[in-house]
Amino acid sequence: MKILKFGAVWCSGCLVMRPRWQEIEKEMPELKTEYYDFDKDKEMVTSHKIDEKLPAFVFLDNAGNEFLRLTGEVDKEVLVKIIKENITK
Amino acid sequence: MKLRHISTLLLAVFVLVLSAKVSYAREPINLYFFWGQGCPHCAKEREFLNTLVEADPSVKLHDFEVWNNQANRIKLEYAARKLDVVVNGVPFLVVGDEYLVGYMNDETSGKVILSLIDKARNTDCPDIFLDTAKDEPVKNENCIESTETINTPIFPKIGNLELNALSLPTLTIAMGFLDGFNPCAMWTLLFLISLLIGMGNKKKMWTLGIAFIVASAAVYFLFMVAWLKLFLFIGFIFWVRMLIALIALAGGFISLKKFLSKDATGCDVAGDEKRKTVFDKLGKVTANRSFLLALLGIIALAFAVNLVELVCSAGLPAVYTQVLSLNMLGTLQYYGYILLYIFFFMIDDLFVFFVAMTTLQITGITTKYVKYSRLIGGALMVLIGLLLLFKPDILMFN
Repeated sequence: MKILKFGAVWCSGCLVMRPRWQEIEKEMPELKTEYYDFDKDKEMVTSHKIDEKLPAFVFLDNAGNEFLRLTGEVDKEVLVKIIKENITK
Repeated sequence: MKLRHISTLLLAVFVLVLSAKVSYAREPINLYFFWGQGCPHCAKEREFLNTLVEADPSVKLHDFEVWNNQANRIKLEYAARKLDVVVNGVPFLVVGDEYLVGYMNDETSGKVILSLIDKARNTDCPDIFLDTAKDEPVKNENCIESTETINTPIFPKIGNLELNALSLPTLTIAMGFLDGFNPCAMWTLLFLISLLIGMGNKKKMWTLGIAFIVASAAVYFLFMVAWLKLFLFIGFIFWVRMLIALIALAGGFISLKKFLSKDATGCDVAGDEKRKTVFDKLGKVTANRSFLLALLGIIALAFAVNLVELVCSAGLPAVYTQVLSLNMLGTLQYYGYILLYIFFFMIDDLFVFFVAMTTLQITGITTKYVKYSRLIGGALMVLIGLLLLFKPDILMFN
């Protein structure tokens, strides 16, 4: 499983999510995540249709297919639960 | 003999003139009372005046309701021109060529009224509705010198705290805070901070950041003062108050609808082009080698960006300034309240900026509570809308 994180420097909610993800990534080093800036990485933004809310988190399985998308601020506990349930996907 | 007659006549005329000058008898003394339907201070003053007129037949009361009656409003405007005064609200009482704005209680304002009547009786100052040339301000400086204005202080006295005195500052803080609560509205500041942090020059970071915040506050201040001036000028017109009431109701219901919808937290990505243009300009301005040019550029940009953003938050400041205009305050007090509103409007911006400049790390404010700010803000707007429609006197706090 891989998580694509979309955010922007001007988005307050994205800044709030930053330390949460840092903690999760520290606790789960096996987790694969990639960060994309909404204003700079336009190709990825367009291909994953990030056109409504930021921050956006796209969950991809091993085959690269999206199986979950979350937007806005998400609690750390919720993220950890989802990741644990799907880490082998 | 003929000379004796002439002398006697001249003496009689002299005595008559002299006695007239000594007594300055002006009967009756006219009180011109301008008031608004539902205004509690007007009701208090009316009660006092009614008792006064009953007790003293030489005093005559002429009353003019100005919120619902256009002809009476024209009379009030006439009085304002004659007295060379800006009338910010009612009650407004004219005695001779003196006026009294507002009414505190019988002990203070009542005494002032009695002294004005006494003065009108014992001086030769004109009655502006009877004696002076049409549309010309009263010229006699001795007559308008003792003009009284009754106002309450901007902050209530400690130890003699009254709920009413607290209401306007509380409302100001609540509305200012709710107006500025949406953290996503601070996108320009967050982007600017991200540029400033990368600079490494502390003095430049602080100066440019503070200049941006102060210039943004200045735009908002000017905008709110313009609203206030408009409402002080036409705000007591019944239909204007109704229009603002409807704007408050509409804005309130939209907020409540948003609260009920399953809208996720986070920031909308709409307005991509506008954002890109602003960011390009911010990048160029902050990168300017000349500190002065960078500073001027930031101020100009803050003005431009905030002028565009004003459209988004027109509802709350317009409703707030209408409420403010219903309260009779001095000019400085009006500005004081607007500054208080703006301080709480910008408090989240100030927090983010100072934390970022001190820690050199950009921090966001959670968008989690935006939903609840919509509930509180929406309910407040609906309440104000209903009060403006049916009980505006409740919004006249002082």
